[in-house]
Amino acid sequence: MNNQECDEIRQRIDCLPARERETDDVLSSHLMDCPECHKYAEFQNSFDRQLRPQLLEVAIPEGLKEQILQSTSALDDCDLSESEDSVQNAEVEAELVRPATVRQHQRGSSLLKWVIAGTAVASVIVVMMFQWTPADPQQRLTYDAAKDLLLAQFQEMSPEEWDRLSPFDQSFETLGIVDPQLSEWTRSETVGMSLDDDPQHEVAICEFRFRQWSGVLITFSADEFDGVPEQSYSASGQSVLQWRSPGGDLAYVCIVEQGSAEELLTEILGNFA
Amino acid sequence: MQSERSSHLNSVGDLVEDHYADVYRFAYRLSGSHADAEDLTQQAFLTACRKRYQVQDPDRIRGWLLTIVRNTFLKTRQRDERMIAAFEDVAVSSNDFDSDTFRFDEETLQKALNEIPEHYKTPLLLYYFEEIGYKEIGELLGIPIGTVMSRLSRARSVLRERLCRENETSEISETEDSRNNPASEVSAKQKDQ
Repeated sequence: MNNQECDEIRQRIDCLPARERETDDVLSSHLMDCPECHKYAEFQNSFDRQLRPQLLEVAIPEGLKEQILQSTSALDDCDLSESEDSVQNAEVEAELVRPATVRQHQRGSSLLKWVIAGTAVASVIVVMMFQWTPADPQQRLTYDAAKDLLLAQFQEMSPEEWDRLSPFDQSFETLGIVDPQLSEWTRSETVGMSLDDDPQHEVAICEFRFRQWSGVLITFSADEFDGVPEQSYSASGQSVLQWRSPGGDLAYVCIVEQGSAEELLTEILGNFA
Repeated sequence: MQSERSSHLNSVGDLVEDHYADVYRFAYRLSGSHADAEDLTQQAFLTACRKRYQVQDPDRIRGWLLTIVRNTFLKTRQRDERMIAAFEDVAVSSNDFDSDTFRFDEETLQKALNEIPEHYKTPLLLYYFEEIGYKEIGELLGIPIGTVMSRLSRARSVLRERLCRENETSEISETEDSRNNPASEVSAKQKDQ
């Protein structure tokens, strides 16, 4: 057996779950002829058998289920799938989710009145922090804000022709899965719109954050640009990057509000290499 | 339309009931902190509650929830390039597969996991928690299959190396203990009998 073949087989052993290793023809035929890889496979089976139960052995905090049920039941009463409500959702969630460290502190201090008073003050501070901290991109963008951004970017378009566009909005939500380039970008809920009757002008818009960069990402269901990213400037002078998805069926326009557009361009170009 | 979307999940209560423990375990292994795991779990279910209409395949709900935990975790952490570089430089021996019994305690296991950067650790955890292979992990994380294979293989090799090393160290220290204190060995043998 040559080393390269054995390396590939061992990587295959590493990447297949035990039940698939047993039925994989490529593995079986190699392992029959290669005692070293056979030994490796046996070793991995033994390692996995002992590691998995230990990985899953994590004590669950008392009352966790009740806390989750309580917070989710409040959200369940609202229709939260509409992006228009996203700012309101953020407020509801901020009220519902308090860090575990704060909760633990509250549990321990409930016996003494003076501590209760202190906790109340701390809670007020926490709530105020939630309100004053800049909102995460996940919940910020509203339909009107998206419309304004698009107007600034595409001044020749007529805003009267814009409608909400749920289907594309939803498909955009899966972009993190479809487009590996964007899997590490934190994106707000998207607002989908149709710019005119032409289905080639469906647009989804969201805010994003990716490492040190943030701004607005506009996605077209069209192959408007070349595949390779390039930088330009919007009518208002903002740095804009534009490129096409690896599959070629989506076009991206990225307005960089924070961080260097040049550096982000380099980063995206790196993914194309 | 909304009821059609939600039909995959009987109720949010069922979703929580069925998966909260696994989600918490995953969050703990990922973050290495019980307090962070509580927050991540709670936040993940809130997000899941809002986005549950996205679920296409009810059989993959748990994987979907774990992906939400990972995304939520990523929002709170800066990518640590130095940790990634150090991890990628770790040398892994390739020919020592003699041991078939491993003994490592909880602290050792979590310490070893904490030293693995997130984008190696998540495929590793999904592999063990979901018992899925590189193709399914790639689909869940939106990462090319080749990348998943190299990350998963590397993460498993390094984890194995660290835990085996710990195993050997504890065996050596036990042997030294018994040499230094033969009485303890005798009493251990008596206990066995």
